[in-house]
Amino acid sequence: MTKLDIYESFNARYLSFEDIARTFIANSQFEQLLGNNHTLLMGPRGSGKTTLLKMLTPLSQYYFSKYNNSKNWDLQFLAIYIPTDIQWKRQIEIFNKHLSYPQNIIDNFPRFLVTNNILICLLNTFEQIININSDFSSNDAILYQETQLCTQLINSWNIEKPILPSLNSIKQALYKRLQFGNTLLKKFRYEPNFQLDSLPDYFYQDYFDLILLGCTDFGNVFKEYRNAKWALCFDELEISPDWLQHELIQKFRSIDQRFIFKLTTSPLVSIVDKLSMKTLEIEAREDEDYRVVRTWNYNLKGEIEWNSFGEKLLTQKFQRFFDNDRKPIDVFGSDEETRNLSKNFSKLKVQERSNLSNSPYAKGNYYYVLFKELAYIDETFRYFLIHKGIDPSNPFPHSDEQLDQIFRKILPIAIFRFAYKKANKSIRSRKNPGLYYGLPMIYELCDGNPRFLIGLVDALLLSTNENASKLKITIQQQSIMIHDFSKKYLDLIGSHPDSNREIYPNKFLNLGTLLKEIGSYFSSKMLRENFIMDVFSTFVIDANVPDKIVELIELGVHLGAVIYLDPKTVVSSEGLRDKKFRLSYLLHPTFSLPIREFKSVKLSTILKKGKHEKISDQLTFSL
Amino acid sequence: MSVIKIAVISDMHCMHSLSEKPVGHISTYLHSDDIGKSEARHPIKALKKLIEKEELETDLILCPGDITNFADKQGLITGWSFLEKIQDKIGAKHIIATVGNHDIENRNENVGNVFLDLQLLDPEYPNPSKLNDSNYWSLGYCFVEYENILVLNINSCFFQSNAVTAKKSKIDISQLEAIKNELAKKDLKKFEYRMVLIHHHPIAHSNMDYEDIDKLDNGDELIALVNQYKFQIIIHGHKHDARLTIFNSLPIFCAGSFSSLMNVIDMKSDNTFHIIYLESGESKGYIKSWIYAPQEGWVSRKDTRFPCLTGFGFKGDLNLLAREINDWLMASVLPNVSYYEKLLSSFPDLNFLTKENQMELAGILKNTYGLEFSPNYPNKPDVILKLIT
Amino acid sequence: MKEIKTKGISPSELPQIDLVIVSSGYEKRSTFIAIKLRGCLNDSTIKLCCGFNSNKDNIQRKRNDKLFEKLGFEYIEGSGDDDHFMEALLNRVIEKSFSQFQSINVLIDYSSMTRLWYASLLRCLYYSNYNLAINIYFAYSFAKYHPPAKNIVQNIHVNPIDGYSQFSIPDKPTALIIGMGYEAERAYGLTEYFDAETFLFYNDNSKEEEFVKDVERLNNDLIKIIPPERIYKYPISDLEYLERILYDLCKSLLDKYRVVIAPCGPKPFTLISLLISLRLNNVDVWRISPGDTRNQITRTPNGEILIYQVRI
Repeated sequence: MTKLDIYESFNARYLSFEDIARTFIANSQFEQLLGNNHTLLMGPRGSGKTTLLKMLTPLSQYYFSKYNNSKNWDLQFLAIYIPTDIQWKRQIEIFNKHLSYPQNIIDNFPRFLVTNNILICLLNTFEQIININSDFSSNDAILYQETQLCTQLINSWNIEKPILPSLNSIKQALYKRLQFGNTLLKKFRYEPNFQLDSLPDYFYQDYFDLILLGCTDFGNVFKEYRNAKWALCFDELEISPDWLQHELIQKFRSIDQRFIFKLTTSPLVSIVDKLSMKTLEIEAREDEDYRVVRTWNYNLKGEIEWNSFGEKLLTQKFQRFFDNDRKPIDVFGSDEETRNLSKNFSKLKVQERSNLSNSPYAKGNYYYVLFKELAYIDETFRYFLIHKGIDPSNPFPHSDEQLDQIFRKILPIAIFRFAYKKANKSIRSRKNPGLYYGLPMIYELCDGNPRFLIGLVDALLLSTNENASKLKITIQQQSIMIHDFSKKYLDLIGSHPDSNREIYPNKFLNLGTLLKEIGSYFSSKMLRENFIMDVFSTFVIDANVPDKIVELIELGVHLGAVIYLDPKTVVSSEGLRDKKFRLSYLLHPTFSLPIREFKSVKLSTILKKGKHEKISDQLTFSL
Repeated sequence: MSVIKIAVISDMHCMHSLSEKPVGHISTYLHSDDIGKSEARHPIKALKKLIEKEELETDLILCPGDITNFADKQGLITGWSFLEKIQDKIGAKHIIATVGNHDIENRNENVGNVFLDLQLLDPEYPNPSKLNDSNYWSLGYCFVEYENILVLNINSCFFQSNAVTAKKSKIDISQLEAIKNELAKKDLKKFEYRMVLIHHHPIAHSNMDYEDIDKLDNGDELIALVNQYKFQIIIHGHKHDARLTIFNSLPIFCAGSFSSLMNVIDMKSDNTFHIIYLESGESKGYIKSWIYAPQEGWVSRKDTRFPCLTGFGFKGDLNLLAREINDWLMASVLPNVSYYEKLLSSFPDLNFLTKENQMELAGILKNTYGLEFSPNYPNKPDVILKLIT
Repeated sequence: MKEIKTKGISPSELPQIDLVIVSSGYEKRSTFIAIKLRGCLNDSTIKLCCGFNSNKDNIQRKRNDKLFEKLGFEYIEGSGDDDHFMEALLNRVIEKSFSQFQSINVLIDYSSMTRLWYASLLRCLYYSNYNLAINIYFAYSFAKYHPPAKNIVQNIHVNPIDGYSQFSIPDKPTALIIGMGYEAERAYGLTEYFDAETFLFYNDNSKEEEFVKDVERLNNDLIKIIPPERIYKYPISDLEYLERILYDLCKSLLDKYRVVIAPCGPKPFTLISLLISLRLNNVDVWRISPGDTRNQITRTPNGEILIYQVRI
């Protein structure tokens, strides 16, 4: 297997509508998105939001039917996909800092950009619909209708003449406006005496008025769409200009009924204006005015759905790249603890199965041996058992209550603690005890993020030189690769260009360092310090956390490195404060943490380490 | 009227990477030791892919010289084998090549017979072995006759043997006389297709960066002669800047360079591959061209320096043509709008417009009738529409 | 758009220089070109030395400052992060000293400059309306191999460079061209940041094999996941070839992508990127810089000089 065979783009940004449709797997999130209502599709990067949104477009729907020989979903609207990206965001941010431009440019240029973008996306959608109607062939009648449509659009949008009545010409005219805008900025920058009497009218146009006119014109010419509903699908709202984010959310209540919004954004939307720090009044209410669809796992239902989706995704991948019908479960196996424990404990210590009860907790079975062994090497665990009335030399549950309230709870901690202690007994070696393996765990690690899943599976498959038909990756190999992948992911987070914040004058904190600090705290409590049953693996952003650190956590949420838990609130004036989070499970292997949620601790407690009022100096760096 | 298709691959400048001078310099995309990890990044592999994708077929391949660079032997051997591979892929009956100045060690007086390596390279070089080519080496030209095709293959490096003569190219008056005498004796009626293949440019081909010092001496005489005998086109290489010039009604086509990076950078020309579609009996036809883009392979693109579709041989009146187009559009069921392909079927002469003709026609259509192609000439249009003013 | 003509030339082809601009920092090679090419300077040559306003106590820096003073350079101080410093300086000098000239030859030693400085110079020369022809000679002195520093530097500044970026519509995905260096992990995070299709450029083995090995080793994670047809190796001493291949690549990509070049490696690559951006007008060049957290390596010249002539 070579990387040419394995690595495929799983970034919907640069997949065509056709490619998206060809590989699309529907899930419950998509079903929810089909609703004839405003929707906020929320989730971190890589969780599939762009794919879902693009799948709503006429072209994707067309190709989906074509490739699946099936009727597509009966959409109640025509979707217009409107993207943005970080390049734009950064350019606009820098533009906003330029104080040398005249006020009318500062006030209107960003809006002009947004309007231009939206109009081009609208034209692209019209083109899609026209091409579909003509089945992508030359059709005189449809060509004629296109010219009629364009004639109306040219008038409605006041496009500069003379011009040809074609969609392509109108697009070129819009690009030309953009070019004019760029030239204007350069003239202001490099010609000290440059004066401009007035900006062209199109700098002042309102994007929504133009959308309204454009869609009306379309319906006038293509009469079958006269009463069509249109869905405006704004992608990655969190990197759009703030004013646009707030306007769109405000419009949930007030927009013309022919239009609905499908917006994608990060798991939490802050409605605090970043400049004035005032909270914006949002009239729209969740469930009344808009629905929320979340693309990450935060409850059991989500996990089950994700596992099912993951299964289909990997099966599709395996079918594409392997000649035989090798299944993912054949390659990765289950994630049962006994796969690990059976390698840890020799046959002598585990009695013959025929004499044992089925329960792994039962006397003589794997978990029994584990607890016994751990009690032997970990004094604090021994004391814990004694304190709970359990004999460390004979640790099995005497009742169902004890089983549920103690043994089940301590099991994952015990497995990891045992592996850690064993690895550290010999000071020289730090062998990976093979804690991360199995297909179900791989799904869990990825936290509902298809991009993580594909990336991780690619790395696992590429790590082996085995012939595809025989491929089966041992738990040791899986664990090592997952550990490496986890570490690389953390490095990636740390090297993200936005991941540094000046938290005190000339003291910078990096997101990677922050996450390491959090992970190490949990790891230390769980594995190194005295054994406790109620360990921590989640945190709450309390009032004592500096704003810049909150910003970093927000970035982490956006990137998928930090998971927002119990997401009852989606649009918040408090931002991330008082909300609960954990590290992405994909980061857990770096800190040797089990894939499990435990109790919560305040973030300020983690950062201060109980010693100083300020955040620990060791975390920061200076320029 | 029938048409033949001629692929033109010129100035490959293929060489071994270790032959590059100075060390660390790269002068060509075609290194003989490049196995081509990626199809798109190897011009020959990319060309094979293009041929397959667009199902291209041609009757002939012409190679106007400079297969190799600075007479690099490995480049010569590999370059020729590349041409054979392409011949196989594109289904061409024959390859006809001619000598370029880089194919011989023309600045080294100690070499003796500068053409020896070429003469020994392959029986099929430069002309198909079944078709007589012994004159080529002894007289500096020959006629290649194949069915109804006649190719006058001229060795413009014939007189190059030392550092002084290497700077010049020429066709001798005695050669011209001999060619004329042979043509007079031939039964030319059977040759519906007649073309000239030569390495050096017979007319001036200047540019802003280099003085044009090696134009073919007596080139104008050659043009007059072949014009007299109704040759349809002269195809040459040497200049890495593709160009089509109509000189005394004769199309002179410079094919540019397939894969060299020398003298291409300064002029921002592209590396090009062409197929000429030549009508029988007339200097009429069109040329489809592809440029080499490192990430994509061979592509047709808009607004290239040499258009990806250009014609030659239109002899009509552009004003009349414009009027007829306007009348035709007005009379259509759906007025003022048409697909270009449909227009072409009613006005096939549009295929034979040179770039200059195209621009003039576009101007007349716009200014007189308010009509415009989209995209506009010299790119290949999709539609013609009435402007909104 | 103005026309740009470029050409690689050897030091022996340099004409007499009217204006020379160098920089003084902590690198040993800061003074190399000023000494080596002093034959092209004469008494009427305006000599400007731009000193960084940081690390002034560094021993090598002090030596460099002294040497430039001895060579008759006028010393002006500025911040390496100041985009407008060079622009202001150049405008002042041309107005004061060359307003009556028809044409001038300007030598810029960018070996030790920050990218913002020579980007600013080139931008100023491109956009300004001086009434004279300016021939610019960008000179770069190669350094002896120095192993990479062990500590990882962060990408502190990730911004479009003023004058080499313009607004475009996000209707196409981004193609990110990274000029790789051997500072670990700087390039890795950029692909994720831009959410882009990535293309990698780095030196081939023709000059410094050790450096190339370091680049490949330290950027292995990124190289592993990029398909081979998107990896370009270029000879560092053939800038004409690099310009050609980068130009062709950008032109190809512009049909389907918005193009961003992120030069993280050798400065000649940055210079070519800037020229491409000026030629093609809608190719962005971004500054990817560790700022003052950069590793301070006192690069020693290996004796070779690379000169690129630019005529605007």
